[in-house]
Amino acid sequence: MKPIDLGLIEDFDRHLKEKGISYSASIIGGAAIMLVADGQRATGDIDSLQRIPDNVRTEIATFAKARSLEPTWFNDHASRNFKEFVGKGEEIFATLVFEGKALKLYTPSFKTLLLSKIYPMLDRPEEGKDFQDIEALIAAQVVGRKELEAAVQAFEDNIRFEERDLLKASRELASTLRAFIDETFKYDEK
Amino acid sequence: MRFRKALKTLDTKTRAELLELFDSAAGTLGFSSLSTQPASPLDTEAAVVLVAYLVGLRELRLGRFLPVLLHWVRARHHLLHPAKLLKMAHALEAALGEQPPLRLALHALRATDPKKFQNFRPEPLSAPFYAEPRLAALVDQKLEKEGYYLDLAAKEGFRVPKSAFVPRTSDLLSEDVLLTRNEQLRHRLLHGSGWRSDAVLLLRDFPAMTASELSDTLMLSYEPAHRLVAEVARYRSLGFPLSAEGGAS
Repeated sequence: MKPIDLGLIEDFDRHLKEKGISYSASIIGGAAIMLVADGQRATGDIDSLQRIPDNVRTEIATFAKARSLEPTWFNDHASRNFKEFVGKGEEIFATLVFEGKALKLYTPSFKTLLLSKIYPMLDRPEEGKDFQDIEALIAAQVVGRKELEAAVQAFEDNIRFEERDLLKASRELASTLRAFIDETFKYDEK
Repeated sequence: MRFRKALKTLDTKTRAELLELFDSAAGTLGFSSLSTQPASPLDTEAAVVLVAYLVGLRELRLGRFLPVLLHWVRARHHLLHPAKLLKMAHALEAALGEQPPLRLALHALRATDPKKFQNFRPEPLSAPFYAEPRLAALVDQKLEKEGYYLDLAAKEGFRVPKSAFVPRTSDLLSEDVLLTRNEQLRHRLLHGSGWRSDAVLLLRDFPAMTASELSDTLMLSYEPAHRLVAEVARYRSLGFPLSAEGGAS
């Protein structure tokens, strides 16, 4: 398969290098999935799990203006619901997925990456992308039954105290995911 | 790209070839992406129809681009050629069967500009469409609470809740950048979005194109294609070159 063009990320790396800024981010979302699962396509935004420092934010905006991109192409919106899927004390710089001269991109643990795909299914079940991202991680052999079960278990542990409506939907989702795991790995040993 | 011919080979392409086609079509429409680079643009309506087809292929896992497509048609509808889009959409479905994402895009266009797209009345789907069928129960709960996307009637078959597919401006290149990259669209600003505008541009770039090839490429009937080829040939025979923007220089 033709290698994915990482032109935008590489150009931003060069831009940061010229400005003398080094930056490491832990990312989730489509960009993270694209970088760990070969052949996956992503939209044009990168979601950082942590608040982006002001000096980097300025350079993101400068770069965006020069390239006619929206300044939110590299954003930290996910940092607002960080606690939802990142466990206490968990290493979010777990896997290095892009190493440039000034920019390093990491993903959190695969369990966290999976949780970052599971929670949004409650809000946007009509969109296929979260399930498809999980399938991409399985197809790329980045995650297996063990990681998926751990993520679903963590999800179930966290939803116990939700209000009634949300609890019902969350249980429905957990049950769907467990059925999916059983179906996907039916020929594997437990 | 000869659209009719391309349709015949679509279901024989490998995953890698289909993804490459997606990259070209998404690039043509100016979807912002970390994973594609600008390539030679395809025909605009062909790109819309192909993206709709490809996002519907579950094995490609392109579901995240369905909201982008719907955002695109609602934001860039003024650049489209309705009759051509409709012909291409019908041809795709005739070749490859019912395409729910494509029909949803047609509904979105009609909802956005009911006058321009008044003929866009897709048939109801033969089976309910869920972008993610495994989450049907959760979708149904949302539908009960909020109703249907674009206020579509339940009988249309789209199991898509009203609040779905929130547009994000960062998903599309700005119109200026799109027009800079895409000559066909730029040309339409000057000459309107009609058969003649697209034909003149093609005949400028491919002077030897026959009426039959023009007809296949634009999904235009043979007679008008033949007339356009003859008119452009006459224009040239009088010694007038076609300018960079495809009109008289």
